Amino acid sequence: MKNAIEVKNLEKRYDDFTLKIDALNIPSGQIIGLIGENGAGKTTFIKSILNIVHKNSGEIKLFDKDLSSEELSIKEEIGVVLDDTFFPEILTAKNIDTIMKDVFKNWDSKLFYEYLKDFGIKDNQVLKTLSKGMKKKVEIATALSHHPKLLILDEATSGLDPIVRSEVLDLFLKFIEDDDHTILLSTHITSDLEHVADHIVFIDKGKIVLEKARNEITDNYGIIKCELKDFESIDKSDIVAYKKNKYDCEILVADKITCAKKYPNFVMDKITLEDLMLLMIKGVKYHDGND
Amino acid sequence: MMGMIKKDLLMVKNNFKTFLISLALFVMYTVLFDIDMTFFLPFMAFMICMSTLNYDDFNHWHAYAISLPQGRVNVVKSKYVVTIILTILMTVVGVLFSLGISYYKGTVNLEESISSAIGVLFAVLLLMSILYPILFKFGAEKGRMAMGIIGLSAVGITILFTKLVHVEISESIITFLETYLPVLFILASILMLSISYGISKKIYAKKEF
Repeated sequence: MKNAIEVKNLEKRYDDFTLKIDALNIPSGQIIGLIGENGAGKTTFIKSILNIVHKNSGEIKLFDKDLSSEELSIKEEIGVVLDDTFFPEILTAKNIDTIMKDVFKNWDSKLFYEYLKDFGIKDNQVLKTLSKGMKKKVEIATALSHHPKLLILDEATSGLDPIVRSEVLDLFLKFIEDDDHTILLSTHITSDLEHVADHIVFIDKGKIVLEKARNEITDNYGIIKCELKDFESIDKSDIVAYKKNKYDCEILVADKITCAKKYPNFVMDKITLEDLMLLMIKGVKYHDGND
Repeated sequence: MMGMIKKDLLMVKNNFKTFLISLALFVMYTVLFDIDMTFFLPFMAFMICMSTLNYDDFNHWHAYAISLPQGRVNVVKSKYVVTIILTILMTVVGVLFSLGISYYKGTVNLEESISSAIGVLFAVLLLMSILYPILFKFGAEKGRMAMGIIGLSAVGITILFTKLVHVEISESIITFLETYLPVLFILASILMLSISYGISKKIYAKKEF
């Protein structure tokens, strides 16, 4: 399987924060969910692979092409939605079509207007009169309308109501039906990723702390819930992270089936990505989730 | 580059009301008060073009623009191209209007109108050459403050210079300037804009959003 994104020894330093990705390979044909709390480094990672911020060191390849030397051809193949709204508010969707015709070689006006129609957006409406969610829809329509191979979406579903979010996620699933297509989706709405993501990359404090197939996480990881006095009876090698509350304790384990057999007296809960994030960020980490 | 140029032109077009108000003021002052307003339209064109940078900053356009093919180079190039074209265009419109009004009044002086227009265009392009690298470096908000500081400094330096330095200019220099000043203005404008564009391009290439 070809890689859509390959990152090696990427480092981006700020005065108070450093993003350090030793290695990350994102295969084509998948939806990759990028999770982590605010300020963990998700947006810095996305901006680094788009050259919006300049890396201090490391190697970034997209579609097997080096970003430093083949930026133009790479960017023809990428559709982007960033965290902040980004189209000047005095423009209309029709204006965006006029502009993008001369930006992307493969710009498809017909497809763009179809998306606008599906989203219920009038092409002559000034963007500043649209709600935040509607603006996001215009951005998503723009990102999809030049037939990109890779969609990079930073909080693209934030601000959308549950119904539209579901429609947009369906759109992403349709996009990914082509094996050559890939989506890198950064979001803090982890429930979206539980529906669509094939793979999860969890960034915390500028580093990848977990990188696994989504099924592998939801099928294998679990949370042992026990009283505080029982914590010591759990083998430390089984603990990925734990959080002690006032009366009880939540313990994240990487092999719930084995642990359920090993500790039959404790409750074993299913895990959601949100639980995983909370325990790995707010809890005490015993060992790396990738171990 | 055409995409970015179209984007800036569409933003200017969406500010068309400001242009119309400028034109109305220009005609009113020229006709009613007989004031030379040659500077007004190119200056307003420059201000409107500059305001597109303000919109870009405010709407976080830059980060997205860089994610587009050739984004970094084209953002800078299109700002210079659109501003230069519109400033020249508005200078021509201003001259034509002035000539029309003076023809109506029976006081047409084509040579003086053209010389005056070239002088005004030079002044606006000089301002643009100084300001655009500052705007690209510090953003439109701080750039406006810089414009005020530059304006005040220019006035201060001129007053100080005229008070402290007494320069005798020979007849031959005055004759030379009278003959070649428009050509010198054009050449100086090209040089200034080239240097300014080079600096802005370097600034923007290093910038992060």
